[in-house]
Amino acid sequence: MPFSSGEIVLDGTPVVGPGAERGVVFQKHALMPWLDVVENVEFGLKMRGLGKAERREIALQKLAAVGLEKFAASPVYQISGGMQQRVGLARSLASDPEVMLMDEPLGALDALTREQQQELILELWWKTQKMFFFITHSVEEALFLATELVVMTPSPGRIAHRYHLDFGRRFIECRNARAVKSDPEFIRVREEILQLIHSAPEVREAAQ
Amino acid sequence: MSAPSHIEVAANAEVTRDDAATAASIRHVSGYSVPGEGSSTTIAVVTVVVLLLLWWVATHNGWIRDLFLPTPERIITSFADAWKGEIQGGRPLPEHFGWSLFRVFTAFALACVTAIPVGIAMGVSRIARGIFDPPVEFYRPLPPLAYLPLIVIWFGIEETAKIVLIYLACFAPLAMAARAGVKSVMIEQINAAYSLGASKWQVIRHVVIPAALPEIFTGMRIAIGFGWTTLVAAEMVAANAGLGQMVLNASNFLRTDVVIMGIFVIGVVAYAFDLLMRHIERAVVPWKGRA
Repeated sequence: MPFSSGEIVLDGTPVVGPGAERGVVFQKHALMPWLDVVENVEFGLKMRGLGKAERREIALQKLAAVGLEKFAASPVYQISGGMQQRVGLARSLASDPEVMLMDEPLGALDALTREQQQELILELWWKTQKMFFFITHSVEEALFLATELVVMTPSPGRIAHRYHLDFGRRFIECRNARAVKSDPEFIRVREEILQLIHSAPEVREAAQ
Repeated sequence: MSAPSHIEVAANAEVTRDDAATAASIRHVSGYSVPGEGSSTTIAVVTVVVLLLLWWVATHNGWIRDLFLPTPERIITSFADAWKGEIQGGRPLPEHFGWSLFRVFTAFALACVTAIPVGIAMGVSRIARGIFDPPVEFYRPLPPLAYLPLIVIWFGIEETAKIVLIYLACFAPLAMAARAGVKSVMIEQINAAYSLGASKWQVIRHVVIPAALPEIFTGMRIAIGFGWTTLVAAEMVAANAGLGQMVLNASNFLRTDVVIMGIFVIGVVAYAFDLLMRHIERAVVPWKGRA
């Protein structure tokens, strides 16, 4: 899809198409069912011509980072939805991208799995020190994960507000997601953002 | 949260009302089954047994003349005779069988190595689709018997003509299946491969072709079925061996027992091959229908 105005630049180089320097995690896991778990993680490395031993080592390392090293030889259609998303995450990380683009990767998961995955993503973000670009419809998820939060209004998509947040860092320090999410400050910002979204004219129209 | 608690209350009320007698028993609910659910194996076995019994009774009581339907025992005897070559033509059954197998499988193998690449090309390339779509779509619905005379004019009456006819019957369903398989690839998988640095050729080789395999297997099963169907038509022309020729020849001499025996042999072989294909399918594409 061509963009109507503006430009996309990564480290000064304009972005013209898909590439391995940007890892993507999709809403649907988009794994290859004919490959087992570790082969899926190796996929990008294989496409770029890495030797078998070398790519297997990297893949197992990334699988361990998402806690799935025990499932390396399992078929992807036999593991749970949460695990499938983690394989997708490991697959993107294996290519060592400069930035991770995540398009609602937790949208299809149940509430409990979703919270576990949020913590995993924060830990990966902290360990890898990469930039994560994360799209979500959950205000709480956005607040918990973001260091820089861009709130957008629904159609036409416009930037309504930007926040600089540190709830994710607080989690890294205390490892207690419930404490972070029940903090009065967290609740105050959550209500403020919900207010911002619900007061957009399009949303009010739709509600009437 | 109010709706679920209502249901719970209603259920509790019902239990207390009539629990005295039926507390331990579970009430069976009927009328909510999925149409067609349940196993049909027992019924299928009973059907076959009843049909065989009916055949035996009808032939032994003289309800049907021997010329139209011989007794089941006669079929077995004719199988034994044919095995030793004691039928019209003098060739033993294994030789007929060998020739038919050779024709069907040569044609099927040729169709696999040509139709699958053509079908994949039709799926991934606008140019290939433009070239192959009109001829394939034109001849696909034609009955093989309709173009058999033309094949005889072009290729004569030797083995080539027979194999070409079966080959054409196998080609179209295989090409269509491979093309449909390519179209069944999930766009997310292609996008994922591109985002991981794959080139267009790598996407075709490592994503499109594996994803098309389940459909290709279905196409192979349909194609070999078409091959067996066309076999008899192919062996109508100047064949002196083959199961189809054996059946046609026996019908000329009113040997109904040999005709029925030949039909059974073709049926059993075709079914056995389909079972083999299903087995291979489960081994090669275990993810079929599960991803």
